[in-house]
Amino acid sequence: MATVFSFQENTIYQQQQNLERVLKRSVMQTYALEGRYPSSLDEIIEQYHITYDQDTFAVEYQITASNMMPDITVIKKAGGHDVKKLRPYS
Amino acid sequence: MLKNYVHTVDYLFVLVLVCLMAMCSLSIVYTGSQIYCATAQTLENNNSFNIAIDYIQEKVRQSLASDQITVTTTKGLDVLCIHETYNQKSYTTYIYVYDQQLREQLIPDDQDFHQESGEALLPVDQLNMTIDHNLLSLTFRIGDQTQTTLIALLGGSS
Repeated sequence: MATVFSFQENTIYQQQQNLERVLKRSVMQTYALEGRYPSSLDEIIEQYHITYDQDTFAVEYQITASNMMPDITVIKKAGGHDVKKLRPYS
Repeated sequence: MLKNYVHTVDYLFVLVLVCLMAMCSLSIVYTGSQIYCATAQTLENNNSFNIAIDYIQEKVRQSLASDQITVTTTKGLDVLCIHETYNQKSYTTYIYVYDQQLREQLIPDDQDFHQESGEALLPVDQLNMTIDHNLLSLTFRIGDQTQTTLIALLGGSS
């Protein structure tokens, strides 16, 4: 049982990692192509057709300045302790 | 006695045949998965190359003046510095590879630069940069692939 639970946790963690990676790549790609960062999370999701489990993850997209990489925070809803802030300094 | 022996050989033959088939199937699946992984990794590397190069090119192009772009070497790492001024305060964007991640950090000039504080953007193994006669050369290495791109730095102050 513990092994199954551990496997499930690991899978969710992998999903979280993949979501972070994809969002960052999309933001970078938008900047590379258009010379600006996406104005909102909805723009990224719509433009790059990104889907994720909204019951499991919450994504916060915060723009600090037009020339700065936006803050992207992916939060695992179940087990609120597992919050990873992508931007190491802020 | 002979009949029993023949039966045993028959069973063993079938068993060996099934084992052989299972091993062949597994080896085919393993080989296929390896090929798939290699293909996916190559595609991912190509995508990372393109995004990293285009991202830095865009960053540089938005501050294209030659006196705004410098390359320094800190603790053995090449660091691309893009100098800007906002509200009469000087800032520098540092772009570099640390811990096998392309990183970016924008800090005021009165703060110290710490390599580990930059935001990880995407995995890149190595990035070498030089500026020679207003020509910025970027050489990326991801896995065993290397790619070089050149950007001309135009003009003086922006």
